[in-house]
Amino acid sequence: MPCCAFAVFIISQIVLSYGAIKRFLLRSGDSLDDLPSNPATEWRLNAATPALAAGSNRRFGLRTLVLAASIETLLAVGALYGYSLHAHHHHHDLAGVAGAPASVCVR
Amino acid sequence: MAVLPSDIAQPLIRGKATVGPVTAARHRRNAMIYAAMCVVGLLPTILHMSPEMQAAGLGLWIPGGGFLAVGGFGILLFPVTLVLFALAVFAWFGAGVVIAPIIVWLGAAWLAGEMAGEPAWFLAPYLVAAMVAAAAVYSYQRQRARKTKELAKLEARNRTMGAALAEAIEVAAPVPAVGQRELTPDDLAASRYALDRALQPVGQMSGYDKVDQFQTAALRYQINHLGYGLGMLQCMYTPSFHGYLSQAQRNLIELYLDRRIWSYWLWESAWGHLNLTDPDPAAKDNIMLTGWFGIQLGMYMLNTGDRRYAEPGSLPFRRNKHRVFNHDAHTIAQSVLKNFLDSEFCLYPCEPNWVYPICNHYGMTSLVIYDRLFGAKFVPSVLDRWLKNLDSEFTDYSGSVIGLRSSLTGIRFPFPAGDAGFAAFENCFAPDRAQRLWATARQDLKYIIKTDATGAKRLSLPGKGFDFGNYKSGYAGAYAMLMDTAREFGDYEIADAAQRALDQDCGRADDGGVLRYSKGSNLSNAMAMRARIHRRDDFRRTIAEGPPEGSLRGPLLTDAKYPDVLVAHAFSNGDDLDLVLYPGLQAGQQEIRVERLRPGARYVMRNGSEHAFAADNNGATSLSVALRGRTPIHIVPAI
Repeated sequence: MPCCAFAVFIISQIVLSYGAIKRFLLRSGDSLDDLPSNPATEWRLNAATPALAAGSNRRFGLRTLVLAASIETLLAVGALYGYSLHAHHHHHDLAGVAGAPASVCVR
Repeated sequence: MAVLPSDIAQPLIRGKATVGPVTAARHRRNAMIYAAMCVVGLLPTILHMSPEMQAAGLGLWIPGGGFLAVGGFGILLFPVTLVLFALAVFAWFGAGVVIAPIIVWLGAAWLAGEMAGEPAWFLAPYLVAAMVAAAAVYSYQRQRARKTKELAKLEARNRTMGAALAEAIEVAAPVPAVGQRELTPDDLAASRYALDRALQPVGQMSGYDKVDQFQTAALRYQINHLGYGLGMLQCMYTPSFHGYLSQAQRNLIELYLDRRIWSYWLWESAWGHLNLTDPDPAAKDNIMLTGWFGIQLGMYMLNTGDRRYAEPGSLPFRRNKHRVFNHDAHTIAQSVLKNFLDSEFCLYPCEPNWVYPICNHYGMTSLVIYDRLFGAKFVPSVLDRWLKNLDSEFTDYSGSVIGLRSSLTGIRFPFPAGDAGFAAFENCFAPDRAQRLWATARQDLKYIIKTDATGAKRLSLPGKGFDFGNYKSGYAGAYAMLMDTAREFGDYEIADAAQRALDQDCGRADDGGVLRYSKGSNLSNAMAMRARIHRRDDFRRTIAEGPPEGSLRGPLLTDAKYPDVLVAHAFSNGDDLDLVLYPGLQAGQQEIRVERLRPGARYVMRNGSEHAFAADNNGATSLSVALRGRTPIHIVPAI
């Protein structure tokens, strides 16, 4: 079916990896019986059953948020480190230039 | 006419190991651009330019390579950049963000240049060159191994193709007779899953999976598949019933115009086409909308004779109160055709720059139904080139259609698309090829047919699977797709094995008169519903033929209350109306309305007893019928 197969492949790799880690950490089972029911399928036009899909979406959203936050944190740390390194080098170079004879050169 | 294996048992698509000319040209362009980047990137090192320039230059060789020249802890940013680059490539795949990998690659090179403040780490150029060389060698070896494997598979397929085709044709059930089809109580319960969702007020989307609007779980695909299921049901079982069944299809079509469904294109057009001013969803690319939606529109119009969506501006994609992209069935089909004609590959992208052959199969199928509806010649004008390019640019060495290719770079990604998924579509416009694809696919399926505890055959896929409709584990979608395709080719043994697997593994639930699979996504449930009612050639006949002529001009059941009255069979020979109804909730009297009778003429309703009545001056009448279980009703002109 459906379109966009490679992206699904990529997503599936992420999801399956996540599942493998979860199984490893939480020792959950590998049986098809363990698969959760999808609340969206419970909805009926003429029944009072509420649509419960939002719960699963929230779980998915939370996982995504945690992943995104981890990456953002890593990037922020890297950027801060890069900036501090750069600022340090700049300061060091200026100090060297100020106190050194005219023959200072990088190479 | 019977198909003989010898008619179509020609060698599989590819006999020689080449890539298509357009793909080859893309590869050459990639190589030239990358070679230029490497030369430019190496110059600062060779010419002993500043450390900043050297680091930035190395960053052109490989994403984040410049951080190796920065040295120290800066090296840690190299793997971070690679991860970020992978995510950017994923964003490119997933949502057509073509600028993301470019920004990450060039941005990392620039940042490395900014960070470098002392002589570059002397090993950096060697390390970067070694990594690029290692990646090239690894990639070459993988490609060679894959090619060898695919060629071996091609040889094996060619050896067995004749027998495989003969077997596929031998086991195929005959095409069922038109006008005699009737939904079983289980079929009706499954159809209620789709009807419940489609009959809620337009704009409400209860009972749908809401995950993202870019990829396969997007609402648009759920809407499309619900529409296909109801369209096929109407064409094959109840063409003389409009009422809530037609209303349900119109609701789905009108829901599709909701900005929440198609606004993904505003983003993709911006970051994929760099087009911020005219993000028309049915102009350039986006066959995942036009091709899929075109089928849904065409099914409804072909089934009902209603041409409202052919009127100019009848399909308004409203961006805001100031901007509307006005479309209709003609402009949707014209968009598909124009893109086919304009694309060097002939097949064209979904997300900007990504060509998915499966979506292009939907696109070609949408043109088949458009030609049938309006007597156009869109398919003959492009099909030969389309098939030639499918063979040369989008088929691997084993003869299987590939999952996707980047139109920008020509890169193919190693996703196993599976021949079964394409076969039903090709049955609509290239039936010989379709038969060959199915014969190939069913050879592979034999390996997953097992026996259950009762001794019955069932499919058995390993692991926990993956549901395209909500990105969770589960095989509902896979089993439904295989069941659907097997039924299209009359292979009921495999279809029944797939249905047994669905019932046993995917949480079949029969509650409140509705049959569903609780462990599947909404998309998978929609596909399972269609698969359940599918019989041989149903998809092809729904697309390429439509309902029988008598039902298009004869009396119609136009009103019945849902879900109180369920319609299992509704056909007309042009004069009569043959119905089978079931009570949806409880047995008792129900009102139905019949139209398109001859004005003022007298009719007899046979329902165990006979009841005479006269049509009014508009050719309509309302009748009270007693529904108890399966209730056949035959309305015929009084003699």
